[in-house]
Amino acid sequence: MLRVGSAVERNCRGASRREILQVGGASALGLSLTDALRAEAAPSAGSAAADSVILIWLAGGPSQHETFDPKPDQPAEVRGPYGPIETNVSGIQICSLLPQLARVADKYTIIRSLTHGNPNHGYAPMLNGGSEHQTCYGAVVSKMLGGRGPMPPFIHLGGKIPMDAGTLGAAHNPIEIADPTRGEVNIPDSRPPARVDAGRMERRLRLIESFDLLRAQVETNNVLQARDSSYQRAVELLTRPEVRAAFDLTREPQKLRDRYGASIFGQSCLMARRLVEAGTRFIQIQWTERGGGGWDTHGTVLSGILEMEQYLCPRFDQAMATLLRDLEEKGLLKKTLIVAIAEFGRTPQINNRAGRDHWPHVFSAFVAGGGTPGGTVIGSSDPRGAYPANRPVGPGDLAATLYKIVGLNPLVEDRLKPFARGEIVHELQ
Amino acid sequence: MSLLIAFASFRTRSDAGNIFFYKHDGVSKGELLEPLPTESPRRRSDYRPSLCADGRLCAFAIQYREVVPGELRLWDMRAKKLLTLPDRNKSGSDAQPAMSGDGRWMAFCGWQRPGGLGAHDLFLYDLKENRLVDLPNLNTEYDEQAPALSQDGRWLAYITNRPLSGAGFPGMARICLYDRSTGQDVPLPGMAMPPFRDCEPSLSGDGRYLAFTSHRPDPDGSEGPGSIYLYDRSAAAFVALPGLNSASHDCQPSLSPGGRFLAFTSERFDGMGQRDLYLYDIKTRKLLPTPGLNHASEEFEASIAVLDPAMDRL
Repeated sequence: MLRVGSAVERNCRGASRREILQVGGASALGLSLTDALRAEAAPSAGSAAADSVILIWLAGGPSQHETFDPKPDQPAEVRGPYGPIETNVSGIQICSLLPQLARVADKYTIIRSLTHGNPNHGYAPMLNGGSEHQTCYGAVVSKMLGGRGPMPPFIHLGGKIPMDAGTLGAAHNPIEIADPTRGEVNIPDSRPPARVDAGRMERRLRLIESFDLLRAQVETNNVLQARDSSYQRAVELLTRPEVRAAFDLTREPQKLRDRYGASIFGQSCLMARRLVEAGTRFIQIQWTERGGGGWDTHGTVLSGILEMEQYLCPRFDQAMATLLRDLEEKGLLKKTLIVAIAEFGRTPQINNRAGRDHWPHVFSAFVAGGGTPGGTVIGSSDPRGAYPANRPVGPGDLAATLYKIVGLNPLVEDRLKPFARGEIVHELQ
Repeated sequence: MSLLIAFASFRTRSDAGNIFFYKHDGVSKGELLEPLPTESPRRRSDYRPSLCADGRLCAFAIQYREVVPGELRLWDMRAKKLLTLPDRNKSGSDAQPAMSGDGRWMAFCGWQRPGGLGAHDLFLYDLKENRLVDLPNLNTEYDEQAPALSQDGRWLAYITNRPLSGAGFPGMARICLYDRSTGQDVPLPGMAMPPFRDCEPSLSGDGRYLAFTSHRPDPDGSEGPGSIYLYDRSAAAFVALPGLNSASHDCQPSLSPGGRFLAFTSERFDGMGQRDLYLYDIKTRKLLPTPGLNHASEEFEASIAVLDPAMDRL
């Protein structure tokens, strides 16, 4: 496992800083590297609609009412203060906090009937498909399909997610980039810490310079060389010209970088598109910030759901709409599955802090690309947005569908069954 | 120094805001001042500061991490102490305080506050008489939020999601201007652009200029995130703000009392953190340098007062 950068994870349980560049055990990293290199010649899955996946984890759990399932006909304490907006698909309304996504609704599907029973923050069941294995989607895809080209098969962007390859082994853990907008580098296990001198750090130092620094450290630091040759090999992988270039956001036109937004999330989406273009099989983005309460909008940091209006929805709206357009303009949307999910949704009733609390019984997901239909809504919630009204979709169903779209059929492949025990959502195929 | 800017930031606590102050000469120099002390640093988030015109008073909102509704506070900048605000909301939350320029009035948004008509309603404290005063015809069964007051508290700008037809389901947020002297909204000809969302109004002291954030397409036709607009009521026209907006999300405008300066929040690339504050001189049509204002964390929700009113003429 290799991590670059640092970021803060945050929800109502508190915040923690996750450091930064870590190298897993020698054998683990060696396998990961070997797999990545071996995968250069690996064929893509035969029946796959999608060659790559961008999975977006909206940490904290967005309100369905203030995103994709507005309830304007409900009382004020249910509907919230933000009215709906018409989309470019007749009959589909979303929350008015997402005006740019409203204009590209023909490119994505909304699932409005996701449901499970766990009201606590965590990555199960939504990131492991409800499996008993603590194994995330990306690791399963990495294990089953390997990589495409020279790129590592599984890359994570944003604050660390403590659910990785689990029983599949550390070889399928992701390479982790904590913040694509910064170049902060630390190697926790080295003595003394090989931290970039703060005086040398310019604002928004390019991530790519961090890779150069890593390489220089490996070449000049005998202690590191003696300690962990796998570290050197990992750096070797990341500093290969074609791989290095995939991480270099400065190669993008400034205007396009602006369109994605300067937020960590916006630039993570842009990097995801570059990684797809370079052949990365699975990119996982965790919503990451430098302050605030994230999507966990109980009303404990700013009043109520004000965070949705101030920065959460604007950042999400700008980056996602741009990602869809950008992938389409580059001819990549049809072969790239994009899924945005979270651990749960929010309560239908607004609390006395004008916020909403955890609610797993019904919430929404965003799905686009990879041959999925656009301009569609699957399932519906009841009038208050409290429970599925029809077509309930569970975490296992979403998992089975995701794997099917990338060419792994959980109905026929025994090795996949432990990770996808639901039914395929056929409307998404 | 000519300007005093209050703002919220996560720079000292990543999961809770603090109120900071910054003095600026109206040209290119500035300095960060002592932040507003917080009573319980680990538990309370302070945000949404609002200064009166001369910077004597700073209202702000607080939110505790526990299951406690949000409240308002009023800070006396000279005496460095909190002033008493009567009539705490016992059933919901109060937020979004907005001071009048003369420091007599404080408007705010109450969630499920007794006396309201909907969910989010607007209220007005008379700080001289220490009591709430009526705002006839303003609140509805829909949501009224984000108040901004003129110098003497006569004009009150706010947003509402009440439908244009006056009945039916709530619609897109739009800005209204309420005249306390008549108890009625006044027309803002040519300002709204349905179906695009307008929000975050800020008034000049005389109520002539109204700055706000809008999600309407930019004049060049590009459809970006929020941008800032300035509406001149006397001309019923928009004032050009060349060089102010970016391709990124620009929002939370705060007009100086005289209407010359505009502080705002932006997520543009040349910032220090994800959200940074900027200061624009409407007279010279330039962004002003603000050394020491921003931080690698997030700065937001600026409010401007003027220490040298002669500087603040358009």
